[in-house]
Amino acid sequence: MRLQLLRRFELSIDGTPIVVPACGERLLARLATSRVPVRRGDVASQLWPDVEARRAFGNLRSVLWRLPKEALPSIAICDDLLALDSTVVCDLAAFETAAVALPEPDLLPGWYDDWVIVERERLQRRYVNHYQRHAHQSNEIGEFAQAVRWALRALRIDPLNETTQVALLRAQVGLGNYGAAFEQVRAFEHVLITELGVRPTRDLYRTLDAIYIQRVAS
Amino acid sequence: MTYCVELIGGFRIRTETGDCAVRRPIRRLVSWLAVSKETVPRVLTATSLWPDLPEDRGLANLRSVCWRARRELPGLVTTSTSSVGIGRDVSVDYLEFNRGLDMADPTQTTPAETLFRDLLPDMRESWLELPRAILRYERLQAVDDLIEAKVTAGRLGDALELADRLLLAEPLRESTVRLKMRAHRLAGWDEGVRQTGLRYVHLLDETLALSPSPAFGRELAAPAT
Repeated sequence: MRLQLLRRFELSIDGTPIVVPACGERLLARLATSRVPVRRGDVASQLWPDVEARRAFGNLRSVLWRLPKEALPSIAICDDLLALDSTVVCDLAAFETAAVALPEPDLLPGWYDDWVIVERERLQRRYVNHYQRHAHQSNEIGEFAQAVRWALRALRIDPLNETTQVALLRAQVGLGNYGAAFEQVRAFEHVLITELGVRPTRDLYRTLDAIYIQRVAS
Repeated sequence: MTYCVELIGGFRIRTETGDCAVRRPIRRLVSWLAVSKETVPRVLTATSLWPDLPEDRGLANLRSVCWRARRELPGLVTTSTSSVGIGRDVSVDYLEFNRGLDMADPTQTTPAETLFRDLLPDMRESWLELPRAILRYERLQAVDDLIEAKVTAGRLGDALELADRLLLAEPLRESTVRLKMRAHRLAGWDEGVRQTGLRYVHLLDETLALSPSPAFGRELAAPAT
């Protein structure tokens, strides 16, 4: 049995999709994102945050009851604990173990439950960190064009991340593209001030110092 | 109906039968959804598109734009009670460009013409500034990559043409100046290397009062071939 959460939800057995009601999809997705067994009460309160505990419990019972017969083995139930059954292969799990060379995951697009957002942001942060690390390493060994490419990947996920902006700026300075470097600082300053009302930190401006140091050296 | 939405170089929607006339509110909505890259909550969409209106007025505007979009261009936009998104079968050049960058060699998948165009140049929206800037960085880097690939392949004429075109828009782009110098050198025209280099040194001094990077010095001093 396979469970797909990236790009869209799909539960399938040997390639044949199983139709699961929307509330069943949410339950399976919640169990799959948690990685450890979860108590019924916790699942219920996360899936129905706005209703009182007794109603939420009732809802959870009815979701389990209404799951199609084929989908039942996907959930392991042990007393008060629920988990995704260990026989289910989930695409999200592959992301936990595999290298981040895989394309950026798009976890359950269009879902806006708090726990989905938290999980989505966690995955994105992993990618941003991975790209930033590569950008940094490329800068260190003087592969500035490669550093630009890595930094831009990170920037596409999180454009206001200053660590990424600094890495991109270092790469532009390294490439000798000073005009582009000044323009980047101006654009970033402008967006940060209008969107968040703050200024970039000193790290960003310090990166520009290299331009003048190189100048003295030359 | 399948739609091709173009945002790079200016807004345009094409179908099998030709160009669609699209009103401004629908253009704004589609552009916003495309740069947001996925389905977006209604509230976020409403407050971004109508930042000066109270939330409920913004949401009402959004409902009416979605309604008009569904009637005039069915399938272009998908809606649910909580979110709005780009239709499933809609291709967007901006998103294709991003996808191309994830491939091994973006210069193979993107037509060179696209690399010289800005994201929605006629639209003034604060939410467009960052995506436009990032796309610009990506485009310029992709042109450099393309020039370098041409130089390596010995297609020096193509390389010089691309370099000149980029330098016309970005005269202070040293990485491109260096590629142009390298192309001249490989073509055996040392005077071209020197002229290109000197012109850049003057320009940089005049506009930013700066000197070129150490890499520039190395390129200038590289032995003739």
